[in-house]
Amino acid sequence: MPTDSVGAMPLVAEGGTTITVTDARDPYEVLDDLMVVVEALCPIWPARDCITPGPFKL
Amino acid sequence: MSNLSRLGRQIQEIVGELNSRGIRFALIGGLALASHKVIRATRDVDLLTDAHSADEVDSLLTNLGYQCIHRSADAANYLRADERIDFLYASRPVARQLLAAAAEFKTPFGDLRVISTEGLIGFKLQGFINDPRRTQDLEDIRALIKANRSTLNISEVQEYFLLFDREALLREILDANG
Repeated sequence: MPTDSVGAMPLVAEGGTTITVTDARDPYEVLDDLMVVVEALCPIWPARDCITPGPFKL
Repeated sequence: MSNLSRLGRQIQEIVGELNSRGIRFALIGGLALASHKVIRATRDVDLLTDAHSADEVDSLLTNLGYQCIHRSADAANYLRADERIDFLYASRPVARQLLAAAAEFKTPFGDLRVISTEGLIGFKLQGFINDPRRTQDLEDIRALIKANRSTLNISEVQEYFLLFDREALLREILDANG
C-alpha cells in the first residue's frame, strides 16, 4: 500500500496514514494537529502489546 | 498548552519531568518519525534512556500515576488508564552511542532529544524482528528511507540490517526506492 496517498487510508491506530513532511511548519505541530483529529475520532486508544522479550541487539 | 492533543500533553508532562531531573533520554518509535520527514498518527510514546536510569525513571513514572506492567533489563512498559509509555534501556555500545548522539529539538511538547534517522531505522528493525506482527515498523522503515534517501548514511543502516541478518530485506527496500 502506498504510504503517501493520504486520502486513501483510514486514520486508525497503527494502521494510520503516513505523511511525508513537505512544508516549513514544525513537524511536531503538524503531528499534534493530526492527533487532535485522530483523538476526536478515536477517543479510546486500542491497547498495545507489551514489548516482546527480544532479541535486543542494539 | 491546553490546545495540545492529549498525546501532546502526555509527552509534555513526561519530557518536562525527565528534563527537570536531568535524565538523558531520546525519542524513538513512531513519534520520532516526525523529526525525520515522516508523520503518522500514533499514541505510542517510546523513549530510550540509559539502563542506569531505569530505577529513577520507574520512581518518576510511579509518582505521575503510571503502573509498571512489564520490566526487564532491556525494556519496560508503563500504563496510566489508556496512556502508555515504553522505555528501552541502553546498555550496549550501539544504543549508548545513539543515545549520546541524539539531537535536541525545541517542540510544542518541550525540549526533545531524538534519535538519528539511521538509529531509528535500527530500532524499528529490532522491533520488527522481535515481533514480525509489527508490520508498521517495516512500513516506517520504508517511509524513512524514502523520505531521507539523499542524506541517509547507508553504511550505518547496512550495519543494523547485518546485525539482524536481514541484508536481503534492505536490498529489497532500496531497490523499491530506486
